[in-house]
Amino acid sequence: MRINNKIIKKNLTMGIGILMLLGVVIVSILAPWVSPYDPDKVDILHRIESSSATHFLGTDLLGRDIFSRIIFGGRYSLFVGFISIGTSMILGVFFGIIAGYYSGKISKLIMWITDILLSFPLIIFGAMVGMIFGPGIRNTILAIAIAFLPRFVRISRAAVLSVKEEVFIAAAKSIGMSDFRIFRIHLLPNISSSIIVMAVIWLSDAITMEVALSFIGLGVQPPTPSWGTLLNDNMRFFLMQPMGVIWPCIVIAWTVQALNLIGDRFRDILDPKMR
Amino acid sequence: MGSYVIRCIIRAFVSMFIVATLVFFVIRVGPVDPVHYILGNYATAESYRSIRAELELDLPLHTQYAHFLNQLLKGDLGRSYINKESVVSQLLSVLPYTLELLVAGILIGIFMGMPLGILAAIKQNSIFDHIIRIITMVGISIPTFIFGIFLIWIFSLKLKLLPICSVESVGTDYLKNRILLLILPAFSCGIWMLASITRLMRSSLLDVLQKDYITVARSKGLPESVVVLKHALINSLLPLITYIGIAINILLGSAVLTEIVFTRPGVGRLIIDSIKAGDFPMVQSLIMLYSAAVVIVNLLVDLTYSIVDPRIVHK
Repeated sequence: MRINNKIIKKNLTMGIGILMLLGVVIVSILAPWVSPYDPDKVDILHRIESSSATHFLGTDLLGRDIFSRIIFGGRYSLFVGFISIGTSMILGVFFGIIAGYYSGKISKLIMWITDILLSFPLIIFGAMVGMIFGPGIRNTILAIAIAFLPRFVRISRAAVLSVKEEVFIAAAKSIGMSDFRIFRIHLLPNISSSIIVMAVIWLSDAITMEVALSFIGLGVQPPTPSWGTLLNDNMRFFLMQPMGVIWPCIVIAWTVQALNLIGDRFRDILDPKMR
Repeated sequence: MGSYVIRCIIRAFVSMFIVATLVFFVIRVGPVDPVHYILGNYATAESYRSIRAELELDLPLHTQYAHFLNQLLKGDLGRSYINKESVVSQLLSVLPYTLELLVAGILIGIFMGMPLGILAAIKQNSIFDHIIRIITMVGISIPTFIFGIFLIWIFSLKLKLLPICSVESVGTDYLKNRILLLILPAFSCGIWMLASITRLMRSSLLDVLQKDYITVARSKGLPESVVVLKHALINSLLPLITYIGIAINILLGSAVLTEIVFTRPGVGRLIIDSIKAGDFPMVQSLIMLYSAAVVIVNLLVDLTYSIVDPRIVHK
């Protein structure tokens, strides 16, 4: 398949998204080497400054360099996002396969709980889990993973239901293949594409949720510089120096947009091509 | 049909009850000690004991649950632990603010989204279409509260056009102030709705324009505007109405953060503030009411489908 105009045109938005995301990810990974200052270094004499030669994006209420905090914040926010979606995906697929493959009481119970949990907005659900388990990075990951669990269960189940009726499953059963082996060899590879697509799309929501939870104080706690805690900290002097809030917002919007561009194209690849 | 409605209402009560029970037990059995959460780290032993007694946490679990059920059956949803006001009265006092935010967001989404979607469909692949698609791409991705912060920055700080904080005012100024305070939050909530509806309208209308009856209308010699506005448009509305039902749920989530960013009173903010303060009686009752409300809203949306599309019949 030669790279021609048509392919470039179709994948242009995804390409842009990948470049945008790579930029953020690479800078976050290289944070200790790229960042000009220690993100926790307090310098009261130079607090709430705007962009200057010494501080690229200014300083916050305690004189910490905002640019450094944003770079390190990327590490925490992206880490929380990836791990929570990954955990949610693994658990969700597990329950979804059980709910889809078996059609008994357990399946009905799983779906009924899932439906109830799905009716809550993510943020309220996450805040509730945060209240039950307390704040902190580990609990934030747990809260976000639990919040996305019903979604993963639902799509896994739907995917399993459609694959379950295929001939090769019946054939596998008839030669006496164990259920677990069928899951591993036949079900998982066939449902993985739809699940990975949704995982990428929900990754942006997971990062947004981390930002939101930390922003309202129920997620990652200060002084850890995640993007959400940055917003929370810097909101205090929003009227004096809004750029302290605006710069993290721009970076968050950039990352989320990148993930959405990639996810959109993934979803199009999955849908039967109509247009 | 009537039985369907009744079944839905019963489902509302059942899920309300189950959610309340879940929350009830999780709060008391979960890893975080409710009293410790409320008092913080520097509590005296005496205040700890007195609050435990007040919240009835010393009684055995089944006794607490029995009291809870007893209260529920009497219709008493309890009082906030923090400010001693009843849950229902606090809820009712903030409900109008949330409702006006939701309605404004939905209206913005529909009345600005539909024209944009129609324009993009009619002038497919033109410069208008491309610009609109870029706008929707950003509008759908950007988190609502981030957009809200941008709006505050641009319109309140830089351009000084719209107020951020509410100033207590009475009389004629009150209405004007309330509307002014609604504009930015409504757009913040509404941008996502606008982007989704634009996209949906565009694809739905493009679909309908391929249909045979549109070709018939055109071959009858009808002007294009009549073909689009009278024949194509009505038929492309159904997916939209279906979508609005789903969107309302998502909008509720955005409303929570919008209320926090704009420091507006509202149901979402009430729930989050109660959670943060550890006001457990309040959180229990609010979550319970919320789950009932979701079922009822979904029921209303379902009923609307069956009115709009006569092909749908409820068993």
